Amino acid sequence: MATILVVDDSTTMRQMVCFTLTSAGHDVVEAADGQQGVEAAKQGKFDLVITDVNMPVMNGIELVRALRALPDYKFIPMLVLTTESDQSIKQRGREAGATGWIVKPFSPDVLLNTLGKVLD
Amino acid sequence: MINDLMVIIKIYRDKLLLILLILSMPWAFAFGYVPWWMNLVFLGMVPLAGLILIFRILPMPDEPRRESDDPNVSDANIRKMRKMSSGIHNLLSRWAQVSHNSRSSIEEVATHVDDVISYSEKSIIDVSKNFINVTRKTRRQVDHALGLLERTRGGADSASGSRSLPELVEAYEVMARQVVASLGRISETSQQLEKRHEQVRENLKHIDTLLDQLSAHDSQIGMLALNTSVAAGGTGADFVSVSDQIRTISLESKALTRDIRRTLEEVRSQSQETHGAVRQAVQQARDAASSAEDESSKLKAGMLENSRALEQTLAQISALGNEIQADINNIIVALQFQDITQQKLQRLKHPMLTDLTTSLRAIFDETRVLSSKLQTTGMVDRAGEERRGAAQSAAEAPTEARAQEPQQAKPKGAASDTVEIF
Repeated sequence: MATILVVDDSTTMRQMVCFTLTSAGHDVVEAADGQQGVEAAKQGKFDLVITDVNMPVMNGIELVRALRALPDYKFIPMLVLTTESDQSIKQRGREAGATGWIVKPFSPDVLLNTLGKVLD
Repeated sequence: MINDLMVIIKIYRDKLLLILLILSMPWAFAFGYVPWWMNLVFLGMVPLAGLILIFRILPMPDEPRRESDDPNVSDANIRKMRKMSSGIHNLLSRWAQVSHNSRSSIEEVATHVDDVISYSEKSIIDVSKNFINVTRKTRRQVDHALGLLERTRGGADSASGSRSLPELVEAYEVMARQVVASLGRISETSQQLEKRHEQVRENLKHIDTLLDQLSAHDSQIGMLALNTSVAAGGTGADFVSVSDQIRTISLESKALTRDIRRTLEEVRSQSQETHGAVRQAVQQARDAASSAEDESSKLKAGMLENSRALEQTLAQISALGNEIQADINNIIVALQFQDITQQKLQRLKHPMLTDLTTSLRAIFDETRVLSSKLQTTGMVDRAGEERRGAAQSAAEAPTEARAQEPQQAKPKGAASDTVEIF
């Protein structure tokens, strides 16, 4: 079971993601924006990061870029969970260092399945 | 009104006399034939008819060129430009009014959007919290039920030492078999005991026979002692003495034989009682073994039936658990749609509605300024001015320029599930 950092400005969305992950036995830490996400990542050690794109203070792409700059998170998988499906934004996410892209709304089965793939 | 009249009179001043003359011809014709007061009425009606003719019937005269007009531009073009200016002025006035109304409407929509976002966020948070609590409790219930059923079905927990229902049935069956076997052994032992008892009885009979023979010998010894005593007569005291002793021994032997017989009778009686008890015990053991076997069979069948029922319940609970999981997944997707809708509303409100309001405000201000400028240049004709009032009243009515209401994200049946791993 993995320890996962979930970053999303929407409380409901965080709750849904956390519920899905904790039900599958994972440990979850929440953050409401990119800045909080970076601070949480520095304080703890996570096996996976799931982030939204459109967030206040620091968006998801910037968060991924900031985390990739940290030595501990160079090779940690990072999934982007967002309503954005435009190829140009996906490309930006990929360039920033995102491991995968999931378009909201997500199905819990699909999320867990994707998690399994990237954690393997 | 007075100004308009003065302008028109000024324009038609060379034709005014002719117009009045034409209008007064019927009066002049009837001058000598009607009373004086009717002449006065007719005379008063002539200018009135002239005004009606000028304002309502005759075409509007062309305005004279102004000093500011370009002398190189023809009168026709100036008239066209003035007409266009009036149209633009009218349009701008309407646009200013509409944009003002639209801005108010958009500000109201923005307020409502704020309210909707606030309410929906609160309700979604409450719903999701409750939903999570309920699903966690339900899951715990299902887990407990499944664990219990797993234990009863056969997934014995070696650590706790508890045994499954089939194992219990098996153990009970073994125990019942052991009980039946024990009862069988008791029965066999009883039968052997009965046989031995028969032997004892046979032996007792034999002892009886021997005692009878001993008794007969005692009688014969007695008779022999008596005969010896009679035959001897008085031949010798010693012989008599021996004969007495024989008699005494014979009597003692008889007494002993009686005692032994009495004792044997008691033994026989006790043996018969024991035999009856053993026989009864054998019968009871047989009955108990048979009953235990029957009960064991019934109990085993009942427990197996219960086990099958538990198996079915387990399958049903498992299926129900899967259905609940599917429902939970659907609810999670539905809640996400709500959240996405809320985010879209937020984006619609800011910056779209805010920008639109700002733009409308700017347009409204610029339009008013332009409209005022057009009015002050004197290029707006009268017809345009007249139409302006009507346009303004029309603009006050609800217009099509209202801000489009935020479109809610269409809930779909399932999640989009677009996943891409780079």
